[in-house]
Amino acid sequence: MEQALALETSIHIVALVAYAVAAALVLLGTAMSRPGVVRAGHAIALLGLAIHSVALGLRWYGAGHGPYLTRYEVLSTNAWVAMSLMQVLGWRRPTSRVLAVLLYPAVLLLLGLAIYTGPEVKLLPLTFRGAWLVLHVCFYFVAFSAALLSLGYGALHVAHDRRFVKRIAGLPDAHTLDRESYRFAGLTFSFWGIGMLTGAIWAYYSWGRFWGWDPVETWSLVTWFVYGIYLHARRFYGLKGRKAAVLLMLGFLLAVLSLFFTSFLTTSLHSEYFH
Amino acid sequence: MRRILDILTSRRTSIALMAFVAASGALGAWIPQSSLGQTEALAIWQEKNPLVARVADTLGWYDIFSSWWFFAVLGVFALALSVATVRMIAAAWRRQRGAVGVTHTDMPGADPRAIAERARAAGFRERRSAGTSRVFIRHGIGMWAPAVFHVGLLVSLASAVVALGFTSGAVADFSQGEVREPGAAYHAVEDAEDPPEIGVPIRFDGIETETWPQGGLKEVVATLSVLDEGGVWVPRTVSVNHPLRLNGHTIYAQPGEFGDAAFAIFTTPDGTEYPIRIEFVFAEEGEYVYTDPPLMIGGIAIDGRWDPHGVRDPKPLALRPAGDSSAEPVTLAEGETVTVAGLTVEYVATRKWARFIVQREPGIAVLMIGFTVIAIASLMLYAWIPRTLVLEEIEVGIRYGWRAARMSRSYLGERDAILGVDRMPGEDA
Repeated sequence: MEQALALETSIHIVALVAYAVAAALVLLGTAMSRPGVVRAGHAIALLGLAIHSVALGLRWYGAGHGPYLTRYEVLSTNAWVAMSLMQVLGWRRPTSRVLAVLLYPAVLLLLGLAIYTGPEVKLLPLTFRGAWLVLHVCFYFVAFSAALLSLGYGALHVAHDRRFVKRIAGLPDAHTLDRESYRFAGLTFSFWGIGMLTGAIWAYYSWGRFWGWDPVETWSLVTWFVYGIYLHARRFYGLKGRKAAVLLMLGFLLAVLSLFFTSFLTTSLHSEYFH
Repeated sequence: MRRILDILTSRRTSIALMAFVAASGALGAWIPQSSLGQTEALAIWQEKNPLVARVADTLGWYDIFSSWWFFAVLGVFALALSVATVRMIAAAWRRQRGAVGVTHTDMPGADPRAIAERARAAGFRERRSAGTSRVFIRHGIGMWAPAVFHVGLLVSLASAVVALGFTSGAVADFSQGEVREPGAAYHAVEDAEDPPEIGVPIRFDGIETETWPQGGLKEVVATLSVLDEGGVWVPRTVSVNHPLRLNGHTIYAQPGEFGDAAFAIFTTPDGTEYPIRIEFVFAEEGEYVYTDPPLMIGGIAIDGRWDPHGVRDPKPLALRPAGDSSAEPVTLAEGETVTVAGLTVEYVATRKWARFIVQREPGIAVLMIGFTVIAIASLMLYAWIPRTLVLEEIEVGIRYGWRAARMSRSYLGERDAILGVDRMPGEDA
């Protein structure tokens, strides 16, 4: 187990290097309008994902629990889910690869932060168990990645006229970017909501109540409402363009706050998470 | 009245209410709430933010989540959600029946029968239509997804109301082998007038622990036996995260609320006997623990130490006058009698003890339903994308209308295949 843990840290660093190279190639290839370089970037990102998967698997084995407790585990898993979603999306719909210019650096940042926080292993608290907890964290991982993709599409939409963005090969029109941003915001809303509900059920089994206005729960609800407002404002009041992007940005910032910062700001029943 | 109801249940109001609840929630998460027992954190926060604290105090921001205005807003929100849900169901019903169909594009020379045939072959089902147009729908079930999602939200909200109105909790302490009969007193209750009652005798049989190789509790499993109707004790297990569900009640094991209990008889100088159960929390290998707070026996405070692994002394129980760190503790093994602070103490026996939370929480069942409905709705939203084709015969051919909840290129391709054209000019995917 200790060997696995020692190995996974090194493999994580290799994955980080692969992501860094991939991000650099995609950005350089785009800036220089060299599709071949961008393709090489995608290939290296895929390789990085494979290496990252091995690192997370070893972490899981070595720590004796899923990678969802410490900052290192949470950030690394979020990076992995975001990259996996990006690769699946790119495979299913090649036009979505345009997101790589934003998503690869974001994944690099997440994994870099994970490694920076240190791979210290923490024992899983007694209450952090069970199928509902696993569902809860999985839905949040996917919700965060969907939020990242939504924000990426929103950012590309807003910056559609910029010279760098125009150079992205296969960039869809502004309308499509805007619509995709909306779609992924919808996915974020659904997954975030289900994540909250599964979390509530887990809380019932762990702490004897399913909602207690704990700061982490409350920030999560606030985030969900902001995504709800965004979706309703778009659906019924035609909110589009920059205003929509600003609201989306607010939702994303709240998502980051509720997932990664609340444990720094306040004491909570979730305090064992992300420490 | 109708006007007020319309305003309260409008979409604009719903969005405003969501914004208000979000802002209030953010405020309540930022400012420690005394209603949530965060008094210590609140005092620190008030000291750090004296100016904002004065404003917050005036506006009642220390009790946001139990304030009347917050409940009122949630109530209006629930009303708006209910009305929106009913409207959505009605709209979905109309669309499902094919009552909503707009034609807008002419196709001269097109054969309506061939198009209808291709639509049916592509999995579209024809709906009865009141007018002259024919309506074909594929994945009509998807039209219900937003309505079902909102029903799920309403049910989840209802679970909070049920929880608020009907939850009742109590704390039950057990020694190994002890039986709790129905109606017996609890160690503590949330609401003395309406305590939870399981209604069957329960016996605490024991508790097993497992620790990580590095130390720290890995698992705690208690065994509670329940007397069934046939008079047989049926063992059931309770662990942290896997509570026992019994007669609509839930029994929780507590991670730090179990251990060894030393049964002792304390006798005061005047001859009064006090049979006491001294509860010590679980001590891991190589650890010893103290009583907290001290025991009060006949007005005399005693500190107890429990050393089951023989770290400080081969005898597990040690007693000394509370607060006197200079006094050497008197140690005892089971069956021994000693004198401490003028009290005669007979250490009779050792048993496991555990504290359980007994809770009646009908809201969880409602929440489970809400979760299931929302999960199904989410699946419907992404798995079944409804498409509607409306055909109307005109003199020169047909006029058609096409609607897909998600206007992706693949659905336009599907439409073009049904209509028998390569590409419809001037349309954006």
